[in-house]
Amino acid sequence: MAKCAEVVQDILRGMLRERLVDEVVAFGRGLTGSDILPLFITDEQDIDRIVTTSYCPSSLAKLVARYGDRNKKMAIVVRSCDARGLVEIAKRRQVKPENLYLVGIECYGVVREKRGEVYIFADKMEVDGEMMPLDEAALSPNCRRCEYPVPTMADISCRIEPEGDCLVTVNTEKGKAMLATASVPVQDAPPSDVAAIKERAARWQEKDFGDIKRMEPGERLDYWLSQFDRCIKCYGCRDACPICVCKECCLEPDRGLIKGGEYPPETLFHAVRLTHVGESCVNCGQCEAACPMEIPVSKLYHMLSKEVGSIFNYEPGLDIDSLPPVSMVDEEDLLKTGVDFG
Amino acid sequence: MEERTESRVPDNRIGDVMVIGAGVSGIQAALDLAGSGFKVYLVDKEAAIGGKMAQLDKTFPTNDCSMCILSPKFIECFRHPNIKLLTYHEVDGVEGAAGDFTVTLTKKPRYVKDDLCLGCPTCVRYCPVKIPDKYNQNLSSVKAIYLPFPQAVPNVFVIDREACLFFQKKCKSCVPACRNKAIDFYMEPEKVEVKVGAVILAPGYETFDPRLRADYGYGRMKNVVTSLDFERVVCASGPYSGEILRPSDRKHPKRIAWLQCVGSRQVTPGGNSYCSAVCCMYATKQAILAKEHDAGIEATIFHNDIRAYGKDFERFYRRAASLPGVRYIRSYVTMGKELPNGNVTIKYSFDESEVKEEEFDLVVLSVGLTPPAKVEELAGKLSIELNQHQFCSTDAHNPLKTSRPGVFTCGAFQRPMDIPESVMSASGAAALCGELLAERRGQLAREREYPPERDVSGQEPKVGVFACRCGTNIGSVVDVPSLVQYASKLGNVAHVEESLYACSADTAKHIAETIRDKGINAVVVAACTPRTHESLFQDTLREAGINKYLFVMANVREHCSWVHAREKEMATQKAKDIARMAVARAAHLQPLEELEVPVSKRALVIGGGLSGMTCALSLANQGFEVHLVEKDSRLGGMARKLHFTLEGIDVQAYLRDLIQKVGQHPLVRVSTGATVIGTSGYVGNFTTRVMSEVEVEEVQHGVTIIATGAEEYRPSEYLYGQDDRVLTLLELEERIAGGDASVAGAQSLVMVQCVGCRDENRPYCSRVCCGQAIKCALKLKEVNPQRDIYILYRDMMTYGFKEDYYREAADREVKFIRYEPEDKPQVEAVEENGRSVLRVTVTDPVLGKRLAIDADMLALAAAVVPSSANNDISRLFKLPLNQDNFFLEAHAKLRPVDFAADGIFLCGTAHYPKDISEAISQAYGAAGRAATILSKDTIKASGVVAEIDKEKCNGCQLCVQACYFGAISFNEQLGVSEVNPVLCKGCGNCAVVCPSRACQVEGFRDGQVLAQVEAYV
Amino acid sequence: MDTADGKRFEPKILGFLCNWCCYAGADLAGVSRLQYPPNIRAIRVMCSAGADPAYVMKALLGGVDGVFIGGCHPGECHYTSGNYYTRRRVAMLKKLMEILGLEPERLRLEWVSASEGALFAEAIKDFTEKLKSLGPNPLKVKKRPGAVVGVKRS
Repeated sequence: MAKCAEVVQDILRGMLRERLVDEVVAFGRGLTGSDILPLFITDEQDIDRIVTTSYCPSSLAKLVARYGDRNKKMAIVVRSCDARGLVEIAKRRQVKPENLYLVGIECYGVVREKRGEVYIFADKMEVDGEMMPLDEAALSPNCRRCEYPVPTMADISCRIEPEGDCLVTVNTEKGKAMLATASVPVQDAPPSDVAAIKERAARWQEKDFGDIKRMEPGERLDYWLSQFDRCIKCYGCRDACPICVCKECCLEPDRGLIKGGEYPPETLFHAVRLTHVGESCVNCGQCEAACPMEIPVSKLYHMLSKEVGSIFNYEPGLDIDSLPPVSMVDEEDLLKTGVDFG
Repeated sequence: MEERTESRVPDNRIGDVMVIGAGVSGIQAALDLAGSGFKVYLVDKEAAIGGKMAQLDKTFPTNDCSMCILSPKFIECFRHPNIKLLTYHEVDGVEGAAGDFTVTLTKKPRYVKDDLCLGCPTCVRYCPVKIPDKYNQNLSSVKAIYLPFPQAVPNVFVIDREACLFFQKKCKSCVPACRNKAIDFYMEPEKVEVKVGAVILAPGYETFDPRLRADYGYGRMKNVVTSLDFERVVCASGPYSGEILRPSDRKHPKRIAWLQCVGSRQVTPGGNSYCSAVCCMYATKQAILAKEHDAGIEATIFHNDIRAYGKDFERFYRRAASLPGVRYIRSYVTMGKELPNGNVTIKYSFDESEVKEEEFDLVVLSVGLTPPAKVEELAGKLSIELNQHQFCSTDAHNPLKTSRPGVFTCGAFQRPMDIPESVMSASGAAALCGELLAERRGQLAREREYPPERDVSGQEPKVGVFACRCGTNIGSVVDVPSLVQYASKLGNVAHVEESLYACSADTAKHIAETIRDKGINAVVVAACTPRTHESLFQDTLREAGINKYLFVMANVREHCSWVHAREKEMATQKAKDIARMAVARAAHLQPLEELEVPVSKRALVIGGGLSGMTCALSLANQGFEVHLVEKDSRLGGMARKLHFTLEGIDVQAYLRDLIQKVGQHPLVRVSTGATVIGTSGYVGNFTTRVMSEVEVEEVQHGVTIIATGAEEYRPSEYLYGQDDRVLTLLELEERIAGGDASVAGAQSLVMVQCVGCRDENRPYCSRVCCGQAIKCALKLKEVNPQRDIYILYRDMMTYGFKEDYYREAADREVKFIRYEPEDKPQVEAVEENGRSVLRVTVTDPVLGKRLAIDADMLALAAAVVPSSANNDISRLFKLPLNQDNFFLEAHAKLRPVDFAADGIFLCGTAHYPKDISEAISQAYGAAGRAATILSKDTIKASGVVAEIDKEKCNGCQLCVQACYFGAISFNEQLGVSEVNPVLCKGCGNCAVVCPSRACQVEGFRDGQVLAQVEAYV
Repeated sequence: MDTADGKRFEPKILGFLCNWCCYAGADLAGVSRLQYPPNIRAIRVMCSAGADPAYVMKALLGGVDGVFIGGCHPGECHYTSGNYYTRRRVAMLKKLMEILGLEPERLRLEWVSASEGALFAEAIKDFTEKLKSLGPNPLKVKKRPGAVVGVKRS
């Protein structure tokens, strides 16, 4: 699979060399060589540490928002949830989209635990060089529900073929400039067939959400309360979330909403997170991955954002010009007279 | 409170201005004057202020609730330190001259002492006599001791002398019911004399009494009502609680007919010849409201022309006409008969020839507007002249001036007009008073003085709770002693007591003393609604020397005792909860500061047309500096093309005079050939860059007035631009004035109305063109009565007194032919017997066949279109435009010259097409509104404003776009959003969109609201 | 519906009423003596938009049986568009409640103008009835495990 990483590395190396960007953000090998970490790279020499495996331990969108210098030009190797996260972050003005150069990688799911070198494809997976049928159970749960394998919102998107080829599609004008310096010839990829993935997403959404929806309201409440009761208020979900870009979170104990020094926190803790994330969740799954108590928070947030999105005809992370739907009104609102939206 | 009928304004019987009539225009005039440094006496013959607007359910074309928008103004008047209300007073005479009038009045006996009545309705229960409720148009009843209407200001009862049994049988049932001993049957009329410098007459109008014309059957047939009756029927607070029922059997009518022009546009005896100007739209509104109440209602409007000539009227009319089951039928009608089931038949012509008789469940007479009752007597007392229609006779050049210097008029006493025009004229009349009395501005007006504020910062909360029994209003339902006991055990409570009337003068004094003596630093009054009484108690806090924001009202009357009268135990429990929540909130309150910013006392007027110049001159005459910016090299604007008016003004002479006055006024600076290229700041403190041919200048100003005017549409239809015999009406007027030979020689002349408007591109009426056409036609007939003039029209928009000229034109044989928009006239240039003519063919609606008219000249009533500069001005000043690209005022009804952004005003045709006298009226209106800011040295912002914690804000700017008032801006340097407290209205939308909760509204901080929530949970 | 302790179930309703329309409508209901069930406790907010989702959820999760938000009719907002924001937030909150297993009917938004006292009384009556048929907020009776109070490090 080295071949595809080489293509991506080549593009990034060129961008750094030509000073198109000041910095490159991507997952890559750490100092031991076996660990994989998010890297902020400014030196061309470090580019070859970048990997394109399907092990993604954190949200690059969140990292860029939190630690990136928004006035620097940055190339970021993103999967679609990262890219969509960045779009939502851009709406909240925590990054400057004009400074971001997104190198997208088509993604059919990631793994949360690093057990060997894993690459996930649409219908197969490669583990330590061995190709095998895709085991959906191995995927992160949010990835199974994901219907956006292709990062169309990135400037370029790279498709990694099981054979090791890397096909690149240019999505924007910026993307053209990004490819201008690449020394490896890039081919224009034929459109990806995402129907199978959409089918998979629908199936898993039906399962994950349906399980909840089919419960009686009381049963559902009990289910969530029993989940929330395990919460140790570590704030891991919040810290991992690309939508949570506040300087100072209102759920901190001295802010008056949530009592300090108490766990599990009152249910309001989760409700407030829901109201903040519900309109913009990009289903990156980082919250759930971060939760030491294995509370299925990603399922919860994703489910709400789907429901909310269906009311407002809003899909988080796709269009940088449409504001989060609960924080804005538009012309059509003025024509509606009822108390129900829609 | 020492007095109940008026705020504590020193009543030494000396004021600056007396406003006679406290309907919406009188109220607006009083508020504008009082807000710009004058002391006002506001007089009304009725027991409460509000006039006719208080009786309306909704207002066209926005269908805003009338009472919702009006009643806050009642309270503003009542609480204003510079307004003295004299309700239930009749004016007897006005002596003296401008600047020094003595007005004599009679205070009529209410038989209820206004200084003692607290507005509690205990007395009502004991009164044995029912009388028809005038407020509800006699469709329901009240007792002989009554409040004029629920929101009445002053909130003081009155006894109907005719009906009250005391005056017949010495009944005194109500006397012991009043614990405050307010009832006094021995009151006598009192003479009052007040000295003022100017008088504004705003007596309003009456509605036409259809009894004067027996043929309408009103009063005889039960299910024939007037439009004002129907207004009450449809109103939620009306006789049937908002259900549409008909009087005869209280059943839901299905088929409702509206008859237009009842008492208007009639030359037959009993009627009035003028058009009442508002009925087409109010009938349209009522049809929409009826459909909203009950979609099954079939609404039929029998009309003559549909006069939808105002801003957004045409759209409103189209909306109504497109509703299923709404029919507009253009026909004269006669009433048929009343059927045994109460239904009424109406005969109307059908297909122009056939007569049809149709049955309706309810008939609404769209009654016209008439002069106020006893108008001749009023005119005599004031020594002013009336016009031929018995409305106020006004100066030809200034509709706000009466025949008597120093006496101004506004509202429907000028002529039938709608609410926004009344409001504009009211502000305009205030401006004229401001000019007359510029020297004495600020001399009588007072600001109340209070002791210095005690610093309570860092103190533990010490809440004082004052529970009011409100006579028996609260006490008979809520167990007040138990409430007091309960409150005394709540945390942070330092003092609790009950009182019979917390709002009485002695209790207020006692509360102030208790606050001082016990070191109380937050106050809860458990009594009535904060909407009427909060400011009163806040005043008590200030007198006690603590910040007025340390106050919470627990509403245990309107929200508890009055609505749970039968569940005393539960009501008491609820009152305890309400008090507990209030105490929790009180303990979290902080003193708030009201930011004061200085005002730059200069106005920037953009646009040097008639409106801009009139406004500029009025402001200068009121003593304010004005910078007038005109983009053209000469002043005058569109008026330069106008020469005469229907009413006979020589426009050019007037314009020359105005330009000279503007040019010579020492306070006016004129920049011609200049445009605005940038602006910043906010009310009181704008900085605008003005670029002229010679320089770019920075102007500091406190207010901005947009008077950028409008333009004439350049037609592409009817051979305009291809044949030089085809002109626009403006071009025709110029040629008439210039004595042009081709016009003089034209034997036959055709005018086509609605060219370029009332169509899909411009679905609005240009308002002025029908008047313009008639004025040109009359002028042409004056020169040569023999020539043929045809006016091809859709609806003649000769509203108000313009109708007289329409009739005159018809009398002089100007031929009016109506055409349908889908069958427009056709024009071709042809040779006929060697004579080259313009052949106009049009379908005659009466005969139903095509008519061909050979004309020597064709004049097109080209639409008035918004100025091409509007988009730039809109962008620069961040001002909204409406769908047609005219500027959008803050509120269609009550703020017609204001923008939502404070300190920016609007006048003239930039707002909407209007004729000269309307433009003048609005220009004065803008001057009147602007003076309320320019007259102040500083402006105070409310303490209830948003505040953004810089430490917590992450600069996401969701708040910036959520603020409609432009009060939040992003500080690029600090990377945080900032609130301008002067612009903030305290709505709190920004706080809710802020994910960090960095943005909070003072008085509604998380801690304060959550304390209330937690106290209940 | 009766509660376990044998008392008749009286729903607890918290109201957020806009100062300009709904609060005034409630006042008019009072002035007009229109009787309605004594189950609502109102918090006056300047605009219905001030009914922050956090406040609403605080009340509902705290066991209040219903939350009532009263705003101006569309087009009549004193601040021009606050009620449109409210409508969007309420739509989201209802979904949130549904997902958590709280009946969305426990949150009600109504447009009430200052002249609609009768409508206000009717709305409260109807909401109270609805809540009675829904029964008590399950969170009121739910026993949560006692929160563990952490030891504060000094």
